[in-house]
Amino acid sequence: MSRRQDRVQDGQPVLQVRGVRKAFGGLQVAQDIDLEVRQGTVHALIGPNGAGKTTLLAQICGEIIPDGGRILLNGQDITTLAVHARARLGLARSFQITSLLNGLSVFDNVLLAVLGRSASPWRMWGNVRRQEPFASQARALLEEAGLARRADDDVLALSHGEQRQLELVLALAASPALLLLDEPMAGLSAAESAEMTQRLMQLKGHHAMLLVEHDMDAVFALADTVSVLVNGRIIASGPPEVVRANAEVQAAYLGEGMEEQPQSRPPA
Amino acid sequence: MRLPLRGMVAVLEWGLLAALLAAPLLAQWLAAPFWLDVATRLAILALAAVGLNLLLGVGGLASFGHAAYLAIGAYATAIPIYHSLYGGGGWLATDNGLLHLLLAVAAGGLFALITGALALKTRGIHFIMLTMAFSQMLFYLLQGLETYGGDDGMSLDVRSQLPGLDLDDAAQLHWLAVAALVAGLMLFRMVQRSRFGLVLMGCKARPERMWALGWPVRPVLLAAFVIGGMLAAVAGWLSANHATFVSPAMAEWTHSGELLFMVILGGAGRWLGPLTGAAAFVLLEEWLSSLTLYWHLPFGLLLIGIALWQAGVLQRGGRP
Amino acid sequence: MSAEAALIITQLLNGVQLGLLLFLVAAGLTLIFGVLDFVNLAHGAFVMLGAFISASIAGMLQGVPGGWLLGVVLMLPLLALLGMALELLLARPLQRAGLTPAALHLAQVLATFGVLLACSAVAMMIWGTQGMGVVLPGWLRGQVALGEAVQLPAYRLFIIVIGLMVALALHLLLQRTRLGMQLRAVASNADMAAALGAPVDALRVAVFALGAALAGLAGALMVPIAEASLGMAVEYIIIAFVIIIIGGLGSLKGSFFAALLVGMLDTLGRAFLDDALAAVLPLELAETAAPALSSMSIYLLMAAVLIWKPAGLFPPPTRGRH
Repeated sequence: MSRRQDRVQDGQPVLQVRGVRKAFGGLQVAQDIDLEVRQGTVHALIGPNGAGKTTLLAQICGEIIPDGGRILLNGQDITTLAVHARARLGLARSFQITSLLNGLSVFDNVLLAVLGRSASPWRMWGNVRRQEPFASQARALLEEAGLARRADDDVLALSHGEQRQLELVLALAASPALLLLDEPMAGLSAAESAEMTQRLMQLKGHHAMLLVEHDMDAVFALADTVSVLVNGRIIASGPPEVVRANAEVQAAYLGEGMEEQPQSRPPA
Repeated sequence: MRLPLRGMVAVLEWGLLAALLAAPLLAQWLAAPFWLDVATRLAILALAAVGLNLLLGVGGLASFGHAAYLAIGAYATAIPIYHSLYGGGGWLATDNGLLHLLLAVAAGGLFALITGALALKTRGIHFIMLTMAFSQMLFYLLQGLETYGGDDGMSLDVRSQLPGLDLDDAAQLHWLAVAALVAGLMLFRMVQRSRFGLVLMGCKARPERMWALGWPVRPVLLAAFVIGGMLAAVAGWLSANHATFVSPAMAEWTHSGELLFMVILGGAGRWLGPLTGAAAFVLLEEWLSSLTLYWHLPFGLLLIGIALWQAGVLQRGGRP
Repeated sequence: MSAEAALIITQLLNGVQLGLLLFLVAAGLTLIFGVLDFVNLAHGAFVMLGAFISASIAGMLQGVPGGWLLGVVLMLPLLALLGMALELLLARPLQRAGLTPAALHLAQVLATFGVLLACSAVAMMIWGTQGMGVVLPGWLRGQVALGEAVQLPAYRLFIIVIGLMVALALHLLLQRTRLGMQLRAVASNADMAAALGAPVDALRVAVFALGAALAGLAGALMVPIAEASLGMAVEYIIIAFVIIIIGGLGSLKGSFFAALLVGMLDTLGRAFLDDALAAVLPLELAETAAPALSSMSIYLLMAAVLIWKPAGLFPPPTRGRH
């Protein structure tokens, strides 16, 4: 924690993770993790496989409850809140492996995302696909993402790139306060990856984002702050250029026993 | 190739509904009261299957205990009638059919609420087996009710009394069953197109994603489970009045299997599917059992064939 | 020893005997599910066919010494063949149809329900609707004295011995042999096991054969107690499923302990529940409530276990994690 670089950042903290701990049996997967994402900024979380990134994301979105510590969203304690309740407070996520609602149309997927932030599930009458303003909102989102002509297709009929696009549309549909992005570049070609980076660039400033990503080009292009997670502990956190130069980070990535290395050139 | 088939199925289904409506007249005209009996049974089973279709077809919940609700609805009718005739039972003793209906729906809903809340802690095959076990539990509970015939079940010595209707008249009872079926189908249609229906479809597709989008998955599934149970309980109410006999065997898991067969054969999630499925089941049963004492053999083989066909195995000649 | 203590010990042994019989049924079911991810509703039909076939052979060999035992032994390969047929004709094509897990299980449930109905009809054609009994050899007909006050029918003791031997053999097979290692590898990840050179197809067939033979054995052993009957097909499948759910789907150890628990609960419930209830309820009410309650007890047990541990008592470590 001594290595934390404090930099003047505008905006209020949207997400605060304070001293979060989690162990599975004897395995510490999160040890006293502190993390903050401020309004309008991108905070990237990097680290080798098995470092605990996925577990940390799962704790933030509520699939796993921490053993100790607190998680705050816009100042409200959400540490033990159910997943769907967090979503309704403005926490949205994209999934690492595309997790669309298969068997439903593209439009229905987006409509459920639009409704999910505020609408009660108990309305058992009326045609949901004609109900305004939600239906128009869903159409507008599809238009914006360039998916309008696929609106009536089953999501399984989409190309991989289109599916990743839709994945992002679903996460953004409820204009969330915080967006958790779990490896949005996974499985994309170089061109698609650049396109996705471009798209996230446009979104930057509108949503606070916590980005977990292996594509270092994307991380260094997008992030305002980078935290490095190794063995359940944050070993460095700060502006990209500072973290990149950090000796411990280089050791963690380039040292012995790590299955994975950053996909771009090592920091000079 | 697909469109004409769908058109034919639609014609068949609307034709079936029309035939059901006209069944009392047809039966009288053909002097075949037996077929009216079959048609009434068909309508009642189809109504129970509509409830299961909401669970399986829309919500993806394969309940293997749906026959339990038929038994609950039937006993909720038979027990008050028994006490109204032979005393005892306190507030339960009544021959008022509306109260029977109310009791059937309430008891079915309660049973669904309790067993559903437990079963929905699990997924997939656990859920199938749990729903099956709960219906078996009910089966033993009913067997233990010695007052109401225990193992053997009991006959209803009078039918439910309804204002303006005489259920002893086979035609009136039939139209009541058809009206209930049509109401059930319309309810299904309404729910399926509604926001609740869409959320339910989302829960079937991928619960984790639905959570992340802000939807409370388990309460939604439980609500569907309760509605489906209530619909089948109404069918049980009708069944008791139709057969004037109730028995624990109604809750046996093999009957739940038959209901699943109807829903799947008719096309899970299709609006009028349960009608087709129930018609196929009832007519097959009548036809096969008139041919042979061992009608379970062709019926079982047919089930295997349907399962293989739906999995696409037969079309490929068994090759992957 | 007091007469009451003797009664309790006798009933406990009866519970163990029932539990071990149920274990034979459940073991095949849980192996087939655990290793092959196949839900077999027709498993109860194996129990019924095992009972009828062994009783028929024993009937033909009436008067021949060892006829009954021969009937049981000769039945086993027939049931194994039946299991193999089910795997080759039904389980394998469904497995390869490329369905989602939920759709696959539903298809298996539907298809094996069909198998169950068809088998029941065939059995009815061959053996009729009457039950069928056997004559036990003399050495199994007597009573065995255990201590001064406890007497147990020799046949029940025989079942206990056979059940324990089978349990031990299965344990050794799975834990100590190469075949067992391969089976466990297939259970945790079939694709990986195949990549590492396990003969997955042959193993699947073997497991089906073994499971069906075990169920048949259970059915055959039941005949001297309760006759072979058509009802066996639907009756035992539910109890067997309850057991493997309590034990943890796919866990042999789990189904062993769950089967003993269920056998004990059922036997003791029938024997003592009315007296126990009579202590707190009016006698008449206790007498009517007790049978229903003891029939329901195993389902109540299952519900309680699942609330406490949704994956069962001994869930296999790998399943459901990927």
